[in-house]
Amino acid sequence: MMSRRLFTTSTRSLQQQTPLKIKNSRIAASVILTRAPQITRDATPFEMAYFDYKEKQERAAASVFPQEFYFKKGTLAERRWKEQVEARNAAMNDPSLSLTDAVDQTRASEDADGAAAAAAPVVQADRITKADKENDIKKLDRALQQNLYLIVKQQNKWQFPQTDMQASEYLHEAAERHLKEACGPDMDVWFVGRQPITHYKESPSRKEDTEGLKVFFMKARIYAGQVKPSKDVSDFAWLTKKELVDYLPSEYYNSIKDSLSDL
Amino acid sequence: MSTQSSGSGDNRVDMIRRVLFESPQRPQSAPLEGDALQQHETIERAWKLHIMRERERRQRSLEKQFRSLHVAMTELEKTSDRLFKGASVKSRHITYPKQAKIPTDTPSTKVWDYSYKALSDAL
Repeated sequence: MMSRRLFTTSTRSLQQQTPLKIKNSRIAASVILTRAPQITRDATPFEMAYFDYKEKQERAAASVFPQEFYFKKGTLAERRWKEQVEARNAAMNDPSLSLTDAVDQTRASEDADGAAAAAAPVVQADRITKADKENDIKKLDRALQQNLYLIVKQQNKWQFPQTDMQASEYLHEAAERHLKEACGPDMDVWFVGRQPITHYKESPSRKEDTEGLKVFFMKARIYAGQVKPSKDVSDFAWLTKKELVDYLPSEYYNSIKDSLSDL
Repeated sequence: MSTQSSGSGDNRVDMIRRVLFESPQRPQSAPLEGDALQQHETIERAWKLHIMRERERRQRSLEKQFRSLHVAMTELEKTSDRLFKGASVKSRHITYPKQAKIPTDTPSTKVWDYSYKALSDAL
């Protein structure tokens, strides 16, 4: 009579080494490492038009600005302010020009006399970085408006970093251990709790005598650093959700797509 | 404040008094009517529709994420009791990371810190 077994029958000391297998399915832990959006998303044309509309509406209903209180008569600052006010007033009746753009136009034209501009230059970084232009999928400063997810090439297929679980450890322990081993420790990573956010199943088949696979995905976030691939990992990439479709097999992608946010 | 007999000094004090104590004048606007009213109301309705759709899209995405989580935990419970209990335990020592920052309009000048090194846990 076959004794019913749910876990591997090795003794406790040997369980440290054996990969976990339950009912003929290997159990694996995987990590969905996310780089969150670093900048706000672009406004749609409708949103920009509405913001301009609201700006003009508020200006029309606004109280009188005490110009003489803030600007001393005859100074350069007062002259600049008066130019901006004229530009704004002209833009009020022009539906194609927003107040912000009108002021920017006067600023652009007055940059010719760059005395004040040189005094306090405000350096703003570009929203589209060099990595965007070169489309370098290994860089973490690409696609700053969207989430980036890490995938690695293990055994010649693209997937999230995955490891077979040992019989003595928990899911989150296996995931953290494997991420450090496969992708290097030089990443500021935070695991979001201990619960898997999604799973992928390959059922065991008695006919073909293959074992099944159950992968549980843990969620983690990266705040600094970069992947340092080890010998298991032949390649890695940081991709947006849309780009993942081209790299991951369709069954696998369909299992995880609901747990990734739309951005 | 020393009172000068010159007119300019009086003007400055008057101006300061006015800005501090008088409520500023607002332009008297007649209420919108006819075509202009229809246009305004259409714009406002379109905006409310837009944010409603955004809100519902976000809500649907969150519901899908929760459903995946729920299904995964159910599967884990069926698979292994030990792993399920290990995943359900809430640790009191997990804290929210200080490095997490909300998105800004432009990125920092040093966009991403590639030179991060792991802390060597020398206890």
